[in-house]
Amino acid sequence: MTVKVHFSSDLRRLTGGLTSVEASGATVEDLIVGLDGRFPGLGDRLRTGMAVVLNGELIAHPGYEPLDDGAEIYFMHQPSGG
Amino acid sequence: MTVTESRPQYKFVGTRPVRHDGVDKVTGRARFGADLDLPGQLVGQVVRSPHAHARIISIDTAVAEAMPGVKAVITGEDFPPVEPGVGDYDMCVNLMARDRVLYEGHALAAVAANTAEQARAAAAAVEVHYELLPPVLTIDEALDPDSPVIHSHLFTSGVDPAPAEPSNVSGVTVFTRGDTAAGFVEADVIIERELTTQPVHQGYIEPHAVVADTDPHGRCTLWCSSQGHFNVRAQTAAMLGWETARIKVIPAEIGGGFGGKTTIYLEPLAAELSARAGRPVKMVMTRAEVFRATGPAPGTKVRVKLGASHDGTLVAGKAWMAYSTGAFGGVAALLGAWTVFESYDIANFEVEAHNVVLNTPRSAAYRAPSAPMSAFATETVLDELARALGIDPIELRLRNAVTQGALTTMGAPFDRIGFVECLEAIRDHPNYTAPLGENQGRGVAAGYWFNIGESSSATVNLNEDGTATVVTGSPDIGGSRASMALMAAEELGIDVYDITPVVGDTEAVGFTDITEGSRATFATGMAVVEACRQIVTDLRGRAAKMMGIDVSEVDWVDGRAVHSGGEHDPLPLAAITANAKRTGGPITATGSLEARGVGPSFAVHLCDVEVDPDTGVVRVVRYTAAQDAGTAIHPSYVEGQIQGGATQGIGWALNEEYVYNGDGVMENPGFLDYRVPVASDVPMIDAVIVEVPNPAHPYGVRGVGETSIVPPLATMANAVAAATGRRILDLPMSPMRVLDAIVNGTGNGDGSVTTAR
Repeated sequence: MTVKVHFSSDLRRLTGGLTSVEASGATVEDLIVGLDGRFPGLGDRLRTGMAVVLNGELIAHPGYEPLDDGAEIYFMHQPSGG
Repeated sequence: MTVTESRPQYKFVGTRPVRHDGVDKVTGRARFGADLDLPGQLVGQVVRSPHAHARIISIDTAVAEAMPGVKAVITGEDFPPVEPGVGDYDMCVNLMARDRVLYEGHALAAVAANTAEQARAAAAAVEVHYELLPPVLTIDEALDPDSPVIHSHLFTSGVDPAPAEPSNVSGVTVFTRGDTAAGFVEADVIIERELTTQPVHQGYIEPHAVVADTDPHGRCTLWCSSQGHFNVRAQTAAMLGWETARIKVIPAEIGGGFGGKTTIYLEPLAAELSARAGRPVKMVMTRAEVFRATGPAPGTKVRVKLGASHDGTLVAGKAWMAYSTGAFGGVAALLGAWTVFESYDIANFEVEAHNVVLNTPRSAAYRAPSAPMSAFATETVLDELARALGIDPIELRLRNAVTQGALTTMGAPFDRIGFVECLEAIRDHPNYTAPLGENQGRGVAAGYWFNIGESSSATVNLNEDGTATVVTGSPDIGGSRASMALMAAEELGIDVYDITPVVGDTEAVGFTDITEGSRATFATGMAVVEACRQIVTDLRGRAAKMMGIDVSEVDWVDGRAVHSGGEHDPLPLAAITANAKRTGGPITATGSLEARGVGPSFAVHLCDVEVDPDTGVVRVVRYTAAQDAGTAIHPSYVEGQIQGGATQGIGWALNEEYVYNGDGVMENPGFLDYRVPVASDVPMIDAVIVEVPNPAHPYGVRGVGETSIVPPLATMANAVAAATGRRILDLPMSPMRVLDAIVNGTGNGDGSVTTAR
């Protein structure tokens, strides 16, 4: 599945300044593995305290979430609260 | 109430029944953390550091152990070893110091004895030799390169290149959008201000308390109040190095948490003391201990710069932020950076936020953590921009407010949100144009907060007579029993008082995450709805059996199974439960989920104050607060959340602060000297519920518990500026600070423009 990936701007330092890329994967974890190959070190960051917005829904722990072809996915920090 | 978007009319949701636990709580029958006593119970006492920063040379417990009635004494050496910066190091060392004490009040030993007097005497007899170290007590000190570095293992995260030397900045978060420099070039008016806030405590009435009973087989039962008993279990197990299954946590009623009870302080100590003594151990903090060793919210130093065109369009923003996270790092800066410009659609911005470590208590979450301080900065500068541009302050916000599709700071678009509706509700409220008296001024400000999902579980059991029990894993902090019962009543079609909502212990209900992020009614409510819908499916099947028809011909309508063909009389729920044994056995279902579709919330507050020009005392004359609640499941408790958050924010703005002497010793650890608002300090707060339902929740719920504390700091500051002509940028606006501004012209004058093109 090919998807459009958007990164929160603080991750740019790990993506060579890019805020969005096209990538592929059957699940979010697949996607992260592929992204880590392109941007070494990004994978660990995306697996630690990061959520995604996929199809308009915030998913706090997205690891095995399946991806549809053409989807847009936004990596962002997990919100917390008091 | 303002209903801004159409939604279904519900039978129970949106009504105001007396809460199920209400009578017990107002008659004193409810059992809070300190109310339990067990036979043979010992009393635990923590030994705390009198110094803000010192190396522990030795701890001698021999004298204490030999004292009458003493059954156990523990120190950091009695817990599993920890490695700096690895795993739960910060939590473990915060609960029990190892080689150093890092703030005044830091726990370094604990004793258990037959009586409180014996425990206190033994604690005093624990002999500690210290090598005093220089404390770092303010953000400015911590950032000074010549200051001592508190943790030699702490290297700033989030920066490139990775630092070669440790520092007192544990992490930096940077968010950017567009071309900020070019944006400011386009601006017609630019205002930049530096603002500070002091650490403030969550101020819950109930101190931390626990009873631990560790049996000879090593199984421990904990009774305590918290914002999440599964979290208590996990953190206690981590600190002790025990398997989770060894610990059972029974939730007591909670007398306030506001984020401060999302972490633990006493539980592993009590469990370990109980294990060593072979008897139950009860520990209850004094108020002074609560102030010296728990919470608080961080103090801050924030610079915000905003540029706007003549028509009020915000074209650029820049923020530099520092949050003091106490003796350990944290996520405060991330949340500040995230929220500082989140409410406004600004094409170009740069935010840089720092977590700063000090020799003060480890900061804890406090209702919308970090957002009140970031909003204080942004909303203050917006107020000045409105004056400079000659635009009504609400109109200025309306011209820049985020709406559905606008980008969040993180880059993803907002779903349906209700910020504009909140602004309009205040603009159209009669209090916005009410006449002002002498020495009075009016302020307005907005705020934003997230809603989080996470894991929740609920089990619904139908009883033989058609009543129901709803068991959840979320402690009832703000009326969640009533909210769960209302949603269950709506689903099942039975009266809300025929439902008994129960908070189950860690062995009685499925895992449920901590109550934070305004998630209980949202996420645990979803689990309740899921369980109820399984129950209804089951009921329809059983009714079909009883009627001798196919289940597809059975509808569930108002608590009855109805034959769509009309040939059979409807079967009320009680008739089906009475025949449960003959149709398949007990009727029960569990909903468990990782909730999605969170609904963030916005609030807009309006306040009139009167400032006494002779004393500097600020009196709140009128206070109006509008907030998007999605759908208000129980409007009274939504209003209560709005009023409570506003009141806490008023205290933050006017009086509350930690006062330390030069050695880092807190000088006001009690409610006499740490001044929280009392009922006579605030008028009846006019709570306006705005309902823009969250499309992702079965009843449209958004998080409502936290947003109301975000706007008051700026609302109050803007009102005081309007009343006095002096803008005070450093909180709290205590009488002497306000008087100083009036008499000596301190503060920032009349809101003059920093740069005008």
